[in-house]
Amino acid sequence: MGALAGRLGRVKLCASTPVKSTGEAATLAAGGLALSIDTRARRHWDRALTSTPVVLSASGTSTGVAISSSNYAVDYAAGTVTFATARSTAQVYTLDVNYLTASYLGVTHGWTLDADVNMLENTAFSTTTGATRWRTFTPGLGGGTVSLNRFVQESTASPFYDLQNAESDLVLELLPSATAGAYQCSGRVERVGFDTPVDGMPEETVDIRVDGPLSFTTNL
Amino acid sequence: MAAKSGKLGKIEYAGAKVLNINQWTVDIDTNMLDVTAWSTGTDQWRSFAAGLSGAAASVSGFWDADGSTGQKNLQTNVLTPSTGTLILYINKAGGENLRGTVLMERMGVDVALDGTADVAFDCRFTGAVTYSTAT
Repeated sequence: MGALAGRLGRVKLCASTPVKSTGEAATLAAGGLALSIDTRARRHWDRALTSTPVVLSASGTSTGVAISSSNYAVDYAAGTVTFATARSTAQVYTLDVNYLTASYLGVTHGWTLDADVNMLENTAFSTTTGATRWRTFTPGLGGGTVSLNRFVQESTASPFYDLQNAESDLVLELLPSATAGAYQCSGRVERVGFDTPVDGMPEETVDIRVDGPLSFTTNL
Repeated sequence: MAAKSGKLGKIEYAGAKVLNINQWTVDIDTNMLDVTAWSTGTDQWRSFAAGLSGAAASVSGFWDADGSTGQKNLQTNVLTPSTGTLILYINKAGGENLRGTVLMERMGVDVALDGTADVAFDCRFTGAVTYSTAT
């Protein structure tokens, strides 16, 4: 694929109220580590609730047995479960989740994403007769920020202003186009700015801090 | 040798060409350790010894993480840090290039309605940068 026009971009914002669903069909990817729910619209999960997705084996030798949550990690924003050790793809897995419905965000005309990883220097003295010259690094913590450029919607309160006031987190999808893939993350509203010039459109700028993992998927 | 046009550039990462990139920069620096000392003369000029060297690179262009394997590899190693070999070609035909092992430090994606979907990556060399004329 070549360069994309910015006009193809989109942003999705998840509703804050979760919907409980049990027995969701899920597929374990080749390699036996990554499990994702089959229904795309149910792949953003509420992390605020104490109930975590319970992975069940619905066939094979351990039919209907829940798998201990100590055996897997959950990425709530991406709706994936990653097992610590590979499991059989021959078995059928289901998930019980509290999913958040994602909808396209209106009056938005630009987004930026900045993901960064701390570089921790670990340069050390040489252990040979040759001297150390080049610096070496190991990756530290990762993080990210998102900025949205939006028009102010008449007679409609900004969802981000409300989220900021309520100190609530959110789940976002940032799409370069409808089919090219999506960045997914949970986030917290860090800043909301409004700009109302006499000779232009009233605009809203939203800065969001990525809270937890940031992922990219082409499985749309 | 005559000046080279930027259109001859190319980059590869983790064994794959990185497509839809239109700029790269690399900065290689060496710490200058000031070893100036009192002298018996009247003139006083600073003198230095070379300290540690390091390097950082930036690449930017059009977002193509769904089409270019190399660009997807860059993105993957931002989201899940891992090292990879970066080769920055000055002349893809002649083969002049700078290369080394890098850690991805930053990724920026910018999608504006009236522009193109753009991407920029910053990376840090961990270890030596070498110059080569081999393709």
